[in-house]
Amino acid sequence: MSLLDDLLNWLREEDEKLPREGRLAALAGRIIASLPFPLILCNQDLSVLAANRLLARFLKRDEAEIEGKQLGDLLGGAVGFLDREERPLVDLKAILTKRNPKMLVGLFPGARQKVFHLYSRKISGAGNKVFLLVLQDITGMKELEIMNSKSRHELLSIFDGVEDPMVLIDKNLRIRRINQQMLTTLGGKSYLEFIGNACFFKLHGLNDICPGCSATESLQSGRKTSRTGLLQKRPNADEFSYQITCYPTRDQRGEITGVAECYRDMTEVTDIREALYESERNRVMESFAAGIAHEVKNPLAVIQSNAQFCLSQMAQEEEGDFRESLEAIVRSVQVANRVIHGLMDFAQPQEVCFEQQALEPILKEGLSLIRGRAKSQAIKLKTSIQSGLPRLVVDRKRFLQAYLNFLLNSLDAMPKGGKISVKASGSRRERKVEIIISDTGQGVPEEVVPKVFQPFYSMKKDGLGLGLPIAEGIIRSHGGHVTFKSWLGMGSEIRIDLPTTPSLLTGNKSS
Amino acid sequence: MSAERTILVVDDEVELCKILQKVLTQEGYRVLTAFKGKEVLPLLKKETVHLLLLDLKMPEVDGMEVLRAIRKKMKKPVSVVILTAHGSPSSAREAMELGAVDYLTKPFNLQAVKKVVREILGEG
Repeated sequence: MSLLDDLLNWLREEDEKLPREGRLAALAGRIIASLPFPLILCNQDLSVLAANRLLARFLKRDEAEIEGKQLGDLLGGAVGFLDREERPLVDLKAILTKRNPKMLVGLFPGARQKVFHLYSRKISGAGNKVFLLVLQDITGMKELEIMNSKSRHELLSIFDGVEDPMVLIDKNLRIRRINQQMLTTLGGKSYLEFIGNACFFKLHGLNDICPGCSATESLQSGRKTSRTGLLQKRPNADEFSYQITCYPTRDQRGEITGVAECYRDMTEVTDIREALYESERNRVMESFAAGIAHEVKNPLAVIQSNAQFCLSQMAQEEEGDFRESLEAIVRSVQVANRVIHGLMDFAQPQEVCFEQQALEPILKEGLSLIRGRAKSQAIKLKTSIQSGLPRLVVDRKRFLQAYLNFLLNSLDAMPKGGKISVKASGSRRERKVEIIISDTGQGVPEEVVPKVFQPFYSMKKDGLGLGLPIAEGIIRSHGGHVTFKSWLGMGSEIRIDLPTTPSLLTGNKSS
Repeated sequence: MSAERTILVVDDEVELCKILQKVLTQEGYRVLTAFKGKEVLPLLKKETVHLLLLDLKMPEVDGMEVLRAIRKKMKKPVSVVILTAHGSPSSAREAMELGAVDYLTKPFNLQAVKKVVREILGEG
C-alpha cells in the first residue's frame, strides 16, 4: 500500500503544477507511460478515461480503443468482483467508493483466467472525481495463499481431521502435504520431513515409482483410481493392507495439479474376506466330496450286491475259491466305503457351537465391519432394531458370517452408492425373530431370483456364486429361512426368519 | 404262499435295479423297475404296488419330489423305503416326514434290504 500512496502523492503534486484544463490528460499520459501495473483511470460514472499498455495487453485490445468504454464492458469477461470477505460485489460502483483493496476474479476475453487484487483511489478533488484502479496480478500465487486465513484454516482442518491417512502429491509424485493421520501412522515427527520428497520413497520405501501406481494413472486419466497395497514405511507394515484411492486435484482452469491419495485400512475387511473364501473353499470341498460319494457309492452298491447275490447262490461247502474271491470283493467294497466316509468327514464343516446370544451386538458388529467399504462407495447404513429383542440360540461366528455375506452382496449391488437398511424385530412369545436387509442397488431380473441361492450361480463377473448359498445354508442350519426379493433397478431385500432356538436342537433327531 | 406282493425299484443306476430285481424276485416278490422319477406315478396308478424302493438323487425328478407327489396325488398309501448314496440325518428326516418308512444308505448289505422288505411285506 505504501507504494501506491507514494504514487498518488506524487501524482497530486505534479497535477497541482499544471493549468486546470490540462491536468487530467497530462496525468493520464504520465500514468499510462510509466507504471508497471495494469491501470485504469475512470470517472465516477465508470466511464474509462484511459488505461495503460499493460492492461491493454491483458485485454488484448488497443490502448486507443479502450478510452470512453464503460468499465463493466471493458472487463466484460470478468466473472466477478469480490470484496475482502469474498462476497460478490453486485454494484460495480462499490469498487470505487470502498477504500479497501478488493479482489477481482477475472476471465478476460482471449486471456487465461486471472486473479487480481484491485486497489482503487480517488485522485482528484470534489466536483470532478477521477478514480485510479490498479490491478495486481496474483494468479501465480499458490491457491492456499490467495485464500484468506479463515478458509485456509478450514481446509487444513478438514484434511487433518480425516481419519484415514492422506497425502497430497504433485504431478511429479512429490509430496505437497500429508495429513495428521498419515504423520501419526508413519510415526513421523514433522510434516517437513515429507514435503518435497517422492511419495514412493517416503511412503513406500522404494527408489522408483511403485508398480501399479494409481496416482500416475489418475494423473493421466483424470479419474479416480483405486488399488490395494501396503504402506511400507509404517511400523509393522506387512500386517496392514490398505485400499489406496487417488483423486485428481485441479486448479481453477480445470487442469490437473496432482492427486489426493487416501489410505483406507482394509485389514479387518480383508481378514473377513479371507475367512469367507476359506469357508467357500470348504463348501466346495464339501460338495465335491458329496459328489464323489454319490458317484462312487452307486457302483459300489452294484458291486457289493452282485457279489452278495452270487455268494447267496452258492452251496455252502462248494466252490471254495469262488467264494473267497466274492468275499474279498465284498470286504474291499466295505474298505472303499470307509475311505469315502473319511473323505466326507474331512470335508465336513467345522463343529458348530450354539450359544444363547443377544442379536443386536451381532448386527452392529456386522455393520461396523463393512462401514469402511460402505463409506468408500458412498453407501449409507441405516438400522432400525427393535428394543428388547429376544435372545437367540446361534453359532455366533457362523451367523455373523452369513449376515456379512448378505451385507457384502448388498454392497456389491451398489457400486455407485445408495443405502443399506437393516431392520430387526421379534417376539419372545412366538419365539421368533425377523431380520430384513434391504438395499437400493441394481436388483436382479425376475428369472434370476430363484437361482440366487444355487451354488456357483453368480451375476457378478468375478463372483464365485457361493456367498449367498453359504449364507442361506447357515441360516437353514439355524432352523431359519431366507427369502430373497428383488426389483430390477430399484434394489433387493433379504428377509431372514429365525426361531429363537433352532428346532434341530429341540426336535427329534432322525437317524 | 400269500397273494403276490409287488415291489417297484426306482433308481437311475440301471445295474442296481437289475440286481435288486434278481434278488427280490428270488425271494418270491413281483419286482418292477423304473429308472426315472417321473415314471413312478404313472406306474403306481397302473399297477398295484405294495412297496417302493426309491433312490433320492436322480436327474429331473428326484426322490423327495416323488415322495411329495405320492403324498399329494395317491389315494392308497404305498410303503416307501429310501435307498440313497447321499445319506444324511437331515435328508433322512425329510424323507420320513414325507412318509418314507425306512432309509438305507448305499452300498447296502443285501441281507439288510431283504430283512426290511420282509418286515414290511411279510414273506414273498
